[in-house]
Amino acid sequence: MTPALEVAHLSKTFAARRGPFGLLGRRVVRAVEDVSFTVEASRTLALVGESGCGKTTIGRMVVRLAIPNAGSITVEGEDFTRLSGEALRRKRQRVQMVFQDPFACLNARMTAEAIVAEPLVNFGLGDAATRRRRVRQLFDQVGLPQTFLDRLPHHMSGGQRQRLGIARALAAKPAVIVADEAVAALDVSIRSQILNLLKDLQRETGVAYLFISHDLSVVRYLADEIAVMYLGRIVEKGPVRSVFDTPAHPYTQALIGAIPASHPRERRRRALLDGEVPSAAALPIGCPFRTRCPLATDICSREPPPLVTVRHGHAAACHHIHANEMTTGGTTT
Amino acid sequence: MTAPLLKVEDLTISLASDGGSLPLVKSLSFEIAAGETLCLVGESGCGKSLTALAIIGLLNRRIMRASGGGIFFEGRDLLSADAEAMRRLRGDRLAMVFQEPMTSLNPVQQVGRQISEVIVEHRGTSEREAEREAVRLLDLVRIPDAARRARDFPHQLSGGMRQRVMIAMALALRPALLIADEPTTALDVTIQAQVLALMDELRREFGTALLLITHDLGVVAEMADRVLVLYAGRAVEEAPVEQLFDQPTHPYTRGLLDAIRQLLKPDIERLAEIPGTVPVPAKLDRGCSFAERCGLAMPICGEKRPVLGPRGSRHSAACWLGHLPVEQPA
Repeated sequence: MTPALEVAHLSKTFAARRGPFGLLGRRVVRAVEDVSFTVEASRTLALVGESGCGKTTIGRMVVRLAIPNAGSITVEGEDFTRLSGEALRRKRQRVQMVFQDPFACLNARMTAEAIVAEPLVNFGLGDAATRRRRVRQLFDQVGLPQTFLDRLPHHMSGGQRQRLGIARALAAKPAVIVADEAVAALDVSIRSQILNLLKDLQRETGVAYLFISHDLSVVRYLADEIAVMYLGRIVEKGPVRSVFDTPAHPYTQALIGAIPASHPRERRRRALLDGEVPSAAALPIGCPFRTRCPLATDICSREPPPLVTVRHGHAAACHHIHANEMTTGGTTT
Repeated sequence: MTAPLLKVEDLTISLASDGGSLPLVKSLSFEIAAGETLCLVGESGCGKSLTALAIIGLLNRRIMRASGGGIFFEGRDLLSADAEAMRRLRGDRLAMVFQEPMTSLNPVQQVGRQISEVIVEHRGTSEREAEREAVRLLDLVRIPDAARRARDFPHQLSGGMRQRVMIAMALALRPALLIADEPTTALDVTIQAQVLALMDELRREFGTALLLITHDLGVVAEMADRVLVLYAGRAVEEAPVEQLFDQPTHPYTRGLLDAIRQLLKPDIERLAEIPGTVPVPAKLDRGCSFAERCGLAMPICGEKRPVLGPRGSRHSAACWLGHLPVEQPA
């Protein structure tokens, strides 16, 4: 079967000005470096990592809000990066996005109905009567009452606005939805509602999710596979269970260790990761994680580690995987 | 028994509007002992930040009114204290750390100066001495190369480092009470873990009491001695932290706890939901504010408001279901 989304060797660089008013020229920021992954229909891949790891840039490239410098983005078998004009416009319909802040991405002067109908109008889908029916059906699907059809976004709560954002993303029946921190701004009680909704909608429509998140606990519930990013690179990827139960990369181990306890008796005096993420404009030579890594040795400052398979479908980029697995493998839960 | 460090008594905070006043925090009472960590937990709009601002005297007095029994801190009533008295207390005996350090720091002043200013202002030490102390404090909160970093402006620091600067500033004069409002919410997870560990360590070292405001029960599990759960401006449950996690009695607390526990269970098919949304503040509320979202609501819940009642030692809840059988997590 053709995957819904296939990203291969994707790279993105930005030119950053140096010095006051850019007087010191420019330097290159490597935001995304050689990233590859595949998402099948009805599946969810989570991209996780901390601020500045490149996860949002990847999401933006997939919906073509940013243009990659290299690599391909294949949607249902067709390379998105090679399309232009009408063919690109048609393909865009297949990839939609849900944003973190549903208020910032909804036109404050449009009614809820007009917001959800907009993609249908833009892609010329159906006549006015069909669109009216489709919008009402979408409201039911995302759990918004029909009485909300003529509401303005500021008369809705955060959870209701996120439902509206999801309805809009679903309107044109996409193959892929990119959800960038889609539940990060929601209260806990609302977050569960939206996560359940996303799962239900996937079951009903077969849509694939590229779910971008910094929150590992949410990812564990929603995702089938997970790709952990650090400074623009994927450092570990695999089935969600395998990565959580037996993380191979020291960064993944630290991320999982940093999830707050779910009971006061589990308070851990755990080993914390020292320091902070270096600037993407001054990447360490060799392994990007070596400046914070407890296992770093000489080789880490010479050669960037390749992504190698640790077990079925699970790969990590670390020179010390095997030594690391012997000391920590099987002890993490 | 010694008097508590902070005692909030029947505090009501109202928004003054044209048509009268709209209560947002209603008859809230709690205490914090010296050196203790109390977590105020609740979702957006539950009144947790307003409560913090009322204690430290930073409510916008043109639109907000705090009234009630009083806010007693080290024996004096802060509700009736004048602006000058509050100014002298703030930064000295009472300090606060906010969620977004960038908006609490002066963008055009070096961070070291911002810390030394507090020391000079309250202690009258010399500038040079205060500056040395500022560097020592930055070092204490583990800012690498503190002497050089003291000359940085806020925009030159990362979010995590800015929050460390705020903590250094808040602890500069060894306050008896530190109020922290969502101090790690804007930080990445690995940095959040560092900052929480740092706050806990400094709190132990200085014997500072901590009023920690958070929406995140994971942070509560890591930090709290006692917990006060707020819903729609009222206290719904209060308990020592282990007790709360072991035997939550209010359906809202149980819903919140389920929301975080289930996420971490492998292979869970569907999350339990708390249906609906938080009610909009109203002038008059009849019955329990949580009743319309509560799966266990009874007729009385819509008519009469439950008051906080005992559920065990130092444990209380405001719910008509007095003694629910508690399902233990597997």
